Amino acid sequence: MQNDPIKSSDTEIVRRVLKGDVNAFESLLIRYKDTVLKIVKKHVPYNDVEETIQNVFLRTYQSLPSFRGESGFKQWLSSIAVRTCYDFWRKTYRSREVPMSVLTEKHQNWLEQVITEQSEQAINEKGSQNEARELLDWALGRLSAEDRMVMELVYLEGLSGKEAADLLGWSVANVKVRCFRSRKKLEKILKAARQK
Amino acid sequence: MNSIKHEDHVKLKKALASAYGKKESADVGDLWQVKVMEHIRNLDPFHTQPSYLDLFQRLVWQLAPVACVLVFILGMVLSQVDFMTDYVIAKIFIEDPSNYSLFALL
Repeated sequence: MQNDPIKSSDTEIVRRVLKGDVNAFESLLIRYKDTVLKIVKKHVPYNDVEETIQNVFLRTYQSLPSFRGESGFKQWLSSIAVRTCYDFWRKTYRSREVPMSVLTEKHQNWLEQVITEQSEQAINEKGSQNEARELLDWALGRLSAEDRMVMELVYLEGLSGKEAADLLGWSVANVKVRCFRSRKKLEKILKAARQK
Repeated sequence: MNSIKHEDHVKLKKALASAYGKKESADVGDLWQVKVMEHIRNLDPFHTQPSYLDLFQRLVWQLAPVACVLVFILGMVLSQVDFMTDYVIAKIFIEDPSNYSLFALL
């Protein structure tokens, strides 16, 4: 059945939406909401997740006429999601609304504990503590929007330079150079945090 | 001075990556889906260039009722008009050639 949105292919649904069947877009939204949520939750502060995910799907809908289907709808949607998160940070940095959390003694203690820790499992457990998330937000808040996105995608998520470049729409060389520089910046920030 | 060695950076990276991965578990409601679809329904429809086949199909279906009406009218007119077949003309000519020339003049 070609008109069944559950069984239809992404390209078929896109074609129907472009012909004026706006409601067919809802099946794409349902199909890929978890993929987009996963991306947005990682890159954007919790309070801004809902607004950002709305922007992702609105942007996707408005960009549908340019969808060529070469790399698949999921990959195309993921790149829109990542670029929307990047735009969120650019806008936030421009308006100087980046929350500057304060580093306290408990964060420095956490840093010391991680450095002296030997077991890998214990290090991962340390990562689930509030101090880890607060320290991460504090350190990333001191990077530019570009450095932040590259660090999150390559350093923290473990994507390759090519994968990050495809998602951000940058060249691979640009991603690699920026990744090297921002990693140095992050290491400097963490070193300074330890010395405070 | 508290410097951080390379292996310490590796440990920090693992811990921070683990903290970063935990951000996925934040819970978000489903109200945004309704808002997105509401917003999309209020947007202008796409202005895409239709293909020639689509244009042809649209034209055929628009002309179909007109063609039906024309066929009906033509059928009615033909049923009312008195017409003569070749066979009838040949029969008149054979039976009475002089009358035929008068008939042809009319």
